[in-house]
Amino acid sequence: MKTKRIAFLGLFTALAFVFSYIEFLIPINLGVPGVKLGLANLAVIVALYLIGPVDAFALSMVRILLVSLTFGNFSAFMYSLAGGILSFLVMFFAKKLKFFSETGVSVLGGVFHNVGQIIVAMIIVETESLLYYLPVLALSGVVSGVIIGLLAALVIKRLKQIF
Amino acid sequence: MEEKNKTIKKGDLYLIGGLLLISIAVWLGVRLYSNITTKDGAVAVVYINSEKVAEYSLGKNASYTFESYNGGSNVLVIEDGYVYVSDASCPDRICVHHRKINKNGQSIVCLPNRFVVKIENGKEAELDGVTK
Repeated sequence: MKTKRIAFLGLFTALAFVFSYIEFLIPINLGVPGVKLGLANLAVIVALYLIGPVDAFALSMVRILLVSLTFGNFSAFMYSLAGGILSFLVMFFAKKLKFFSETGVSVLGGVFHNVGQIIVAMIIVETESLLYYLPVLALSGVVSGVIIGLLAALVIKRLKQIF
Repeated sequence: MEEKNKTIKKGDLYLIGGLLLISIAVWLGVRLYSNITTKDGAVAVVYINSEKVAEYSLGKNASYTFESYNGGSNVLVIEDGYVYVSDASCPDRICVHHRKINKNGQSIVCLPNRFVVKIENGKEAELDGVTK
């Protein structure tokens, strides 16, 4: 079990990193900053369901660190970190509730990732006008959350047999 | 038991529906509010690192270059009553890709350069000063 866990974590961290790179290559431009597909969250959700919260959280943090070191700068790291932590906490509790499937958990993760980023950006730039982006970013979080959640459910269903 | 293995649960649908409704309602509300409250004398106000550095009327076409936070630069353009950022030194250039703005409360934010341009009703404040 231990070897399997290590192999799985390594594999999924690499996968999350590649997903982030793909998003970096094809930016979605809707005239509002922060709109993303959130592909990397796919790896985090699958890890959350298959190996547990501690490992999934570690995966998310390692991914953010790697991506920020490779493509970003310190401020990008702060935003990602805030988004990543808030989104993870919300997904963790949403999963515990048993009221949602992977799709609902993923939607909440997507929306709160954006909320976390906006909060940090508002603190750094000291402008409340960023709140204007919230409804658009919430909308984009819902749409991408549904897509990622459905994909995650398919992956989890198939990988469950190995675990 | 059946509910447990479903790909989509009832809770998901409530959540998705609720979030869609709320965000669309808030979005429309914000747009409406911006439209209603925009006065003729609306101005573009520039903040760098939370400090107000300039204020321009939307009536005059012009282009201004700003030395922003940490040695960055942003080029602000006012054209036909709209404001946009035409060039910037930041790596993501989100501010450059941002759509043009002209309504009260709308803003373009460049996070790396801590550059904010915001539409405000400048004339209103002036009028208040007169009536006092």
